[in-house]
Parts: sequence; structure tokens; C-alpha cells
Amino acid sequence: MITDVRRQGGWRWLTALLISCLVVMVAGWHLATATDHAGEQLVAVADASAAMPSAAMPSASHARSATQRRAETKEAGQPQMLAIPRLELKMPIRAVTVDGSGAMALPARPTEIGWYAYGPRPGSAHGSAVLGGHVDSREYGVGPLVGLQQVRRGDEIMIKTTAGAERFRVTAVQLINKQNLDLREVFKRAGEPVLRILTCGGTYRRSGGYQANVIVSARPA
Amino acid sequence: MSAQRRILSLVSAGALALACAAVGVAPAQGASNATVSILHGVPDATVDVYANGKALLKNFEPGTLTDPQMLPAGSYDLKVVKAGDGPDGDAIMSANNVKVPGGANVTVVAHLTESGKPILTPYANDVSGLPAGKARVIVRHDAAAPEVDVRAGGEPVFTDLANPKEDSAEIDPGTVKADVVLAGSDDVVIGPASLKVAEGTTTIVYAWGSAKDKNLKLAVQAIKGMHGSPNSVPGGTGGQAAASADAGPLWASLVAVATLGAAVSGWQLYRRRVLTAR
Repeated sequence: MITDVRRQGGWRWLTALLISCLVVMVAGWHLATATDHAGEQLVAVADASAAMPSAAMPSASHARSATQRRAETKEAGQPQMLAIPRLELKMPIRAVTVDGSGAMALPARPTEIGWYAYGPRPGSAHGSAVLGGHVDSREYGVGPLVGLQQVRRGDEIMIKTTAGAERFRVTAVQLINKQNLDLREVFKRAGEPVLRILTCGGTYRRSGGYQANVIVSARPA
Repeated sequence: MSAQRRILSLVSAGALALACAAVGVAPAQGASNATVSILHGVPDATVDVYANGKALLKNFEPGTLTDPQMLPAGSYDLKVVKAGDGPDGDAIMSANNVKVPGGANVTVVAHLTESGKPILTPYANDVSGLPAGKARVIVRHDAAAPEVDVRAGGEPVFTDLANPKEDSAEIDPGTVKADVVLAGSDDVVIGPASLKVAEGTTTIVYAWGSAKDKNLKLAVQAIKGMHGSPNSVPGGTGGQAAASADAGPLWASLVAVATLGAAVSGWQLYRRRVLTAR
């Protein structure tokens, strides 16, 4: 009787030992690989076509007719509100420029998104209209841009401007390591019209912050 | 605010210039083009401008800046005559063998020297790239006037500028209230003028005319397309939204706890086996 209890207890302790060892292995592996995540080059998010090895943005080949029509008809207005209907995302847009360190100056609150006012407006006939916002903030917490990685190719994006609404269709969603991001391409002021929405993503490091940018590219619809 | 004195050399006509004149306006010197603008800064003279014997501008009025033109790279003989006098008319001013390199952006200014003599001065315009959010301002002294200071909002920005020198600076874009004073003084000779300086552009301000005749003026040339890109988009400051956000401490404590668990259970098993063995 006594030996049975002891044997039962033994099984329990053996199970506990095995589980503990397993947990040590799994947790240890996570600990070891956590830093490697930051080395990601280019990861497709939500859409396979974005996983093309070219780190550059998807090339502009379509939407030409829309461009020309737009160029002939009207000037784009000042952007005021961003909406992604499928995600029920709505954010006020603020005109921003450059901060003291040469980075795009983003609104402090992650509930607002900045528009790079030195570049084209969304709906302009040429170049890249850039919106950027904080995904989260030490002060204000997590914002709606956390959902940007859930955007899919084909999703509709609407920008309310002082001259009416501009509609876009998502062509790519990408997560690109900041070191590999072609900022000249992101902010280019000539060429086919494109809307780019940026926030941060990937691994967060206490020193250095987020290691990657989430980039949604969209063409005039 | 480094002074950029990139005034092209004015060399008198040589064999090369003669050869160029023989083949017409366009010298046969490769296919590359240069961007050339011409500013008329000599008061009271409507003129015609000839390049290598061919008419480049007719009835050119003082204070006019031409739109930039694409001209084949090479060297040019420039001659300015009274309007209607023709290519063989008496030169009010001329510059021979003016070198216009391919890809360059040049402004040729017809203006007065400090002592009031008409002269042609070609300037190479700095159209190099700018950092994001910056604008470039270049000032050029092309007036019959002594050395001047150029002030913005009452503060001297460019000092001791002499005819036909230039100076430049990178500034924040916006509207600048500028005036021109005699060097080291508060004697305003031009302005104040409101100057709009756009991001990513080079704005060139010319002082022209004559102090003696009290007709000093400003001419402004803006060149676009030197804008830079922001160096990053720092889209998060908290880290709360990170997928694998600083999970390090969590995994580390899990490792510690599980190691402890393994140690305890291992010890218990060992004890039990020892007891059973008894």
C-alpha cells in the first residue's frame, strides 16, 4: 500500500520533470531566437504577391487611365480622413513634415495619422502620397493602425479630402525591415500615382524601437 | 553658408570658338544638353541676344528671366545688341567661349558691374539634392552697387557680398522677409520683400540695377526638384503592439520557473527511488 502511493507519487514527479524540461526547451528556444526575428528581410503579410523578393514597391503598371482622367479633371484636395471600410478603421489625417532628425514627423497620438505635406496629396496625378502613423505610443497606448497588417489585396481605402473622396484599391501589404526600406521610392514625387500607408511592425526593441515598417500600397480605384 | 563661387570662366575667343561659330548655334560636342536661363538685369535697354551668331532672344526687356531652355552642351559666343541691330550690330556686352557643360544648370545674367559697365556673367546653379524639409537660397550681386548684406527678418544672413559674387544657404522653407543693406550698415537699398521659399527647391535672388540711378531691384528664379526623402518613418514608440514584443523577459522567467520545477521534481524522484530501494 505504502509502496503504491510512493510509486504513484513517482509518476507525478516524473511527469512534472518531463513537462518542466519541455518548457525549458521551448522557452529557451524562444529566448534564443527572439533577437533573430529582427533580421527578417521581407515578410509577406496577408497577401502572397507581396512576398516577391524585390524589396522595392510593387511596380506601377496599371491605373494609367484613371491617372489621366484625374489629371484632366481636377486638383486633389487636402486630405482629412482615412477610412478602410472592411476593417471599420477611421482616422483623422493631419498634415505633417519632417522632425529635427530628418524622419517623417508623425502625430503623437496613434489615433491620428500624418500625411507628408511636402509630397503629393492622395488623388494627385503623380507620385506617392504618404500617410504614416504610430501603431502604439508609450503615452497613449495602441492605436487603430495595429490592424494595418490585416489589410488584404483588393481592399478599398477611402480618403476624404477638402475636394471630395478619393478611392484606392490595395495592391500590396508588406512588412519590410527598416534597413532595407527604399525611402526614395516610398516618398517619390513623380511617376504613377500611389497611396502608401506606413506604420511600424516586426520586433520591438527597447533600444531602437520597431525594426520594420508595415507598408500598404494602393492604386487609384 | 559656404560661399559657392562657381562662376564660369569667361575666355576670349579662340580657335575653338571660331570653329563653333562656323557650325552654327549648336556646337558639335556630344549629345548631352544643359539647362540655360537668361536674366536681363541692365536697366533701360531692350536688347537682342545672339549665340554663336544666331538669334537666341529678341526684344528682351530689363527685369525679364527666360524660362529654362535645353541647349546642347558646348561653348557659346554670346553677344547682346540693341534690339533690332542684328547679329553684326555693336555689342553692348559680349562673352566668348562660355562653356556650358552637359547636365549643368546655368543662368547667364546681363547686368552692370559695380562701376556700372554692362557685362555678361554665367552662373552654374547648384541643383544638388537637399535633405527632406529643406530649401536652398542663393543670392547674387549683379547691381552697380558696393558690397551688401542680405538680411532675413532683419538679421544678416549673407554678408559682404560683392558684385558679381554669389552665396548660398540651406534654410527651412517658408516665407522670408528679406532686404538688402549696404555691407555692415542698416541702410536699406532694396526691400523689404516677401520671399516665398518652397521645400526642395533652389530659390535664386538677384540684386540688379544701379544704386546711383536709384533703380535697384530684385529678380527671383526658382528651380524645383531637389527635394530629399525623410530618413525614416518611426511608426511606434510604445512597443505594446509588437507581435513578439520584448517577450524576452517572459520567456526568461518561464525558463527559470521550469528549471526550478525540473530540479524539484528530479530531486523528489531521486528521493523516492532511494526510499523504494530501501
